[in-house]
Amino acid sequence: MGNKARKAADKAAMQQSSEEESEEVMGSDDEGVSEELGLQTLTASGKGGNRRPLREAIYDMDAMHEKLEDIGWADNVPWEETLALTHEDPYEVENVDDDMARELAFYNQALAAAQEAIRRFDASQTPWLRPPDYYAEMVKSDQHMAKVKEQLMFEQRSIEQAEERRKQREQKQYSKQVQAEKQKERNAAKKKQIESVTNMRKQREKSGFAGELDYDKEMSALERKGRQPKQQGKAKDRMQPGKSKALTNKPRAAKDAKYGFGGKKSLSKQNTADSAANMSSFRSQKRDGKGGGKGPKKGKPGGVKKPAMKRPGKAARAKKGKK
Amino acid sequence: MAKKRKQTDTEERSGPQPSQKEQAVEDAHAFKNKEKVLILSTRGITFRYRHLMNDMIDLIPHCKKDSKLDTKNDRNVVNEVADMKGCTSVLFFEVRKKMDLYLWMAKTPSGPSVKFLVENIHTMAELKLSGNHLKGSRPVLTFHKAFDEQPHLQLLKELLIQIYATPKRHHKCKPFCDHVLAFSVADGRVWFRNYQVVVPLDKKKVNPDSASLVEVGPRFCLNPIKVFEGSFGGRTLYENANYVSPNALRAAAKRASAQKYSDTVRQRTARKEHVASHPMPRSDLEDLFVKKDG
Repeated sequence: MGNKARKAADKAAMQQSSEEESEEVMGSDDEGVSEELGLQTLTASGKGGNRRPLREAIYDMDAMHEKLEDIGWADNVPWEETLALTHEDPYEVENVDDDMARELAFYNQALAAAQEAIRRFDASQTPWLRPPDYYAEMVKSDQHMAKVKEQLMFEQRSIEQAEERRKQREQKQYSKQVQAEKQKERNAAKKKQIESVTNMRKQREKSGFAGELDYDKEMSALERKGRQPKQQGKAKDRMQPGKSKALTNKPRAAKDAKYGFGGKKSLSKQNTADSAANMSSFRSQKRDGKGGGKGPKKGKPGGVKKPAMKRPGKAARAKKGKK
Repeated sequence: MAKKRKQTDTEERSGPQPSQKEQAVEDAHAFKNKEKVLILSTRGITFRYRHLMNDMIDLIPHCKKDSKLDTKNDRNVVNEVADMKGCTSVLFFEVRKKMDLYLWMAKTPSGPSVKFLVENIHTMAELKLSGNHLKGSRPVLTFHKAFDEQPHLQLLKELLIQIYATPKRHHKCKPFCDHVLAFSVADGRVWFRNYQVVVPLDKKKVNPDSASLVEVGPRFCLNPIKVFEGSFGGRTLYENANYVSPNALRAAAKRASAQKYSDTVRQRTARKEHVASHPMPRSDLEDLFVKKDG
């Protein structure tokens, strides 16, 4: 049996029983109706799974009133005797499992009572407030209050620590970003430097290595000349190997031209429509026996009748030998 | 009945005026609250329930504590004890199976008595609430509106007032008022809360609206089971139709967990029987590829 199911059954039963009560309070003497309701209550609770005996729940109103008359004195004495108040607002806690709402309702009830009590004390001029210099035993001992304080401090501290940790984490992320930015900048500067040196060398190459190399001067001249690095051109060069002016390594360039460098690898060897239609590499079988086509039949050309050099027969060779 | 009582209520509590003051004083002389509450428990009380009992003792200055009761069946002994101690009402903590706490509130010797199941217990010690108040100061009691509306709740209210209201000139009480005991009704149960009244210290005259509350504890919730006519016995006046005993709840939970396995077993045997009683029909093509003799 689920707890929820039980609660639902309880609620349903409670509603029914409250209906019954209200009817009785209104003064309807129809016993049959109330009995029926009571039975319904019981069957409802029976469905919910709580195994109660099948009889009506006892609610002896008259006897209760009588008893109340017997023992009651609280309503017949001045308020100062009991200090009891009834909350005017007939609020209902809808969901008792909702801690916040429930406690708030209780708090509001108590607060209203406290304020009303203060008003009544003031009206009757009764001293009620404890003077600040009145020390007496409290409900909770000092040790207990020290513990409470410790707990409060601990909670506050843990909140602070969590805050601190969160801040540090954010700081770390930020500094990481800054660092990455810096690295990027540094890389860019380095690249630029290398490029300018390359440019300088090329210029000197063009001019046939004339004159003494004054590095600083050349560099400053280059700087002055071209502030804009040729980013786009460079990217193109990378994509088309062999044409790169920067590549001076000839074997490398040759290999790159042959095998390719960079670019898409997959499907590069797959047929396209053009390559499939290309018959340039096709040669019909040669009959003269020269060379021979590619393929498995290379070694044994079936159609060859007279090889160029044929060994003479045995008799012929013998005759020849005797000669 | 409810209406009648309420009328007297409003008449009584219209707020004492200076002209009525004399009358009030006279009344006070005429009436003296001589309630005394006996607090005791059964043997086998656990630490948490004992702490709750101690909290009650701290909150009720006009109480007498007695040693643990040895018997759980003969509750008339409690009446005798109360008689010996000169008490008019009893708070009896009955612990069953070392896990369930039932609280009896009774007027002795002629009743009535109420049996509650105590739920959601949080003692003052385990709740680290920052409120605190004087030991023995008189509490302001506040009751939910529902306490005036239903007969059994009216009876409960009277009992609660007589037990928790500290007599005005009791020798153990302190003549100040710094806490509120709140009794509320929700979900068919009576909820108990204890708050400290905090007022700003700097002003001489306290504005009621500037007062605030800090909870002190303990917290608990009373689920009424039965109201009896006598003290610890007698005719039943009220019975809670929605009450399910914790034993029944535990048994149901146990049964539910046992259900799972028994369901599996039942299903398995049922399947076996079904398969046995419904054999597969013979197919025409079954021996098509079987090699025939000769």
